[in-house]
Amino acid sequence: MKDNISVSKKLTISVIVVILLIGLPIGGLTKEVKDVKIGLLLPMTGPMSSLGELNKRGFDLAVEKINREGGIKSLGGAKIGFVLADSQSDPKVAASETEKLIAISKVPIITGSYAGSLCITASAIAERHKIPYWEVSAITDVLTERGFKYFFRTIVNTTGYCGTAIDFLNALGYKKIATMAEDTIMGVTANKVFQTRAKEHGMEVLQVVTFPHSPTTFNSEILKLKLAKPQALAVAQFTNDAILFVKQMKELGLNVDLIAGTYGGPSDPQYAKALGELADYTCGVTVYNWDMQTKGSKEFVNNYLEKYQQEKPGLHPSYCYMGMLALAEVLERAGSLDADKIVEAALKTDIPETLTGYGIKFDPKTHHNIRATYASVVQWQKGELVTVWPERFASKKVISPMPKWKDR
Amino acid sequence: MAIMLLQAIVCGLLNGGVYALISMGLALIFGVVKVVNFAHGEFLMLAMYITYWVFTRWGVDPHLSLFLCSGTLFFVGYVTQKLLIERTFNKPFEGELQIFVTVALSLAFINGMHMIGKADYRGINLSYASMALNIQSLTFNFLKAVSFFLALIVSYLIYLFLMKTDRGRAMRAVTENREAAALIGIDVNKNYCLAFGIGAGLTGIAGALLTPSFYVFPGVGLLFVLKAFVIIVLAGMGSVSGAFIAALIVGVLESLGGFLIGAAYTQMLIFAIFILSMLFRPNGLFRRRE
Repeated sequence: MKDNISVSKKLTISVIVVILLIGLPIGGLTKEVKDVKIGLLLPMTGPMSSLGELNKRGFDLAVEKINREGGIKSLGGAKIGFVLADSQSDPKVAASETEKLIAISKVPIITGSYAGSLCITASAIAERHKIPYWEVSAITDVLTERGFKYFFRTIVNTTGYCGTAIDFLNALGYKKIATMAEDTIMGVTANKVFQTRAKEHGMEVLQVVTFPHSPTTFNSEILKLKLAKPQALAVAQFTNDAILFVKQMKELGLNVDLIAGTYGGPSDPQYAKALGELADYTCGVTVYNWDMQTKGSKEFVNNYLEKYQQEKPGLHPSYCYMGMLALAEVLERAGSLDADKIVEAALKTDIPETLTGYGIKFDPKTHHNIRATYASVVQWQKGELVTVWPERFASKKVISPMPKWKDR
Repeated sequence: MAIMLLQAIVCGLLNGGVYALISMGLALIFGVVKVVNFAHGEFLMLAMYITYWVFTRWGVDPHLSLFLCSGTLFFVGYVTQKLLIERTFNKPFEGELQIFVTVALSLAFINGMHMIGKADYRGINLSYASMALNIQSLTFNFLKAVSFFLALIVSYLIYLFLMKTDRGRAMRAVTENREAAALIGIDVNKNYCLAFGIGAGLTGIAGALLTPSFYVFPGVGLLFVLKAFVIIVLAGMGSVSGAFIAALIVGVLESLGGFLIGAAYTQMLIFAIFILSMLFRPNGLFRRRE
């Protein structure tokens, strides 16, 4: 028998194979996880990009705090990092990016997503792959009504968030209002909530206006509102549309006593930058503003100002910061990146208060944060964004009615 | 209610003036060079950014910067034709190549602006931007009225140019028959470059006038370009004056439709009219040759 490979070569190869066979699994058995890469899905480009950017700041600040304080100790002090995926403000891209995060980057959890329209497609993909989805920003009600096992949401939902706009107008005594929202899932839900809550308070909704996504003009909508003559207006718009709307309100002379804006617009510093003085007196519904005296608020404001040195933090970085801190706590409790262990640890979350004012505790069935039942209202006063409602969070009194356009 | 309807029509006409300036440029480019310019919205976007920057930095009023914008965009259009589109002539799949080139140009502009300007929404606030003339309790927004009249004047000037001047006649000759025009000694490529330049320049004017009442961001052109395409097809590809009228029609339909029915149905209505006019008047509503 002629051997093609010499005996000594065969021996060497066998030794190497045995070493690998023993060495590799042992290497994998150590608990030393170098770092945890979490999937972060945000709209970094497209119409929602300015808010995607603000969201990312909240996540970055939270992760810096976590890593500074020792990382996830139960995972061997593992530092948290992100695999950032750009959903491009497009639900289809959100879904395909999620597929990539799971299949290629193999992230153990995904978080994000800013908008309900982006979350709904992305989280459906994650649920199919049994990957936990930690939603910190999208408030669309239906997200926690799908019976998903791996989906969690820390922020208030639409009913609580948009309902606050109506509660606020009601508290100020406005009984005849109009509502306006874009005809996407975000707007349609908002309009529904506005109407339901208004009915509960015995208010009269004189006109319900819808507009298409990213319009080039609001003149039809404004004319409808001029015809209806409401005392106050509850609106659900993204920032770019809010900018155009306010400009055209002035152009066409639509005067209302107060505007309560949800989603983009008054809660976004971009809005005031683009509008200048025109932004004054408009109100926005938020879950956090720099002047709120809540748990962790001072530290958050200081870290934000130190890092970004531009404007004080508002709504959009805050819920990401708060949500990410809660996620880190869950990972700490789980001590593992296994999906089911994460879900189990998440359900044990019991935080009494966060910087938004409300705490976190998940409903065992829907996985919605049952402590997030309300939001707060801010108003632009002389170029400064201040909290005006509810009283326990307010630093300034609300100015109402807004002066008429011709008097400004 | 009647007043509101009239106001809706007025608003529609004024918006139409803005759409007209944008569409007339596209009509000229398509009419003469026969290229579907998918980067047209980005010409608008560039002009808006220029207007924004010179206003924010040096306080230059958009009515002055419209000269800067039209000049700069003329240059951009001329160069686009000379360096990009001209290279696709007489190549296999010329038409498809041109589409790819203009789409690529559009993407390059949008993403280039993302890099330079970031995606932030910018706006300028003119003290007189919301100034309006009130006639019989109808509001005519000053800025939009200016755009409207400028669109009217420009439309007439283009008509005069194309009909009465030698250069215009040369351009029309090139439009009718490229080879024949070349045979009688007309510099075809120069005329194409001029047409592209003028078309872009018109959009530059539109951008300058639009900036105070809208918001600026890299994708702003995309919001308007689809309407512009509908308008030029409705008008009859290449008819510049037709584009003006069609733009007014679209503006009024959009405004009235939005007011009476609802914005979503209005979009449907505009495209339905588009389809119907394609069925019954395939060459466009205005079959005047220019």
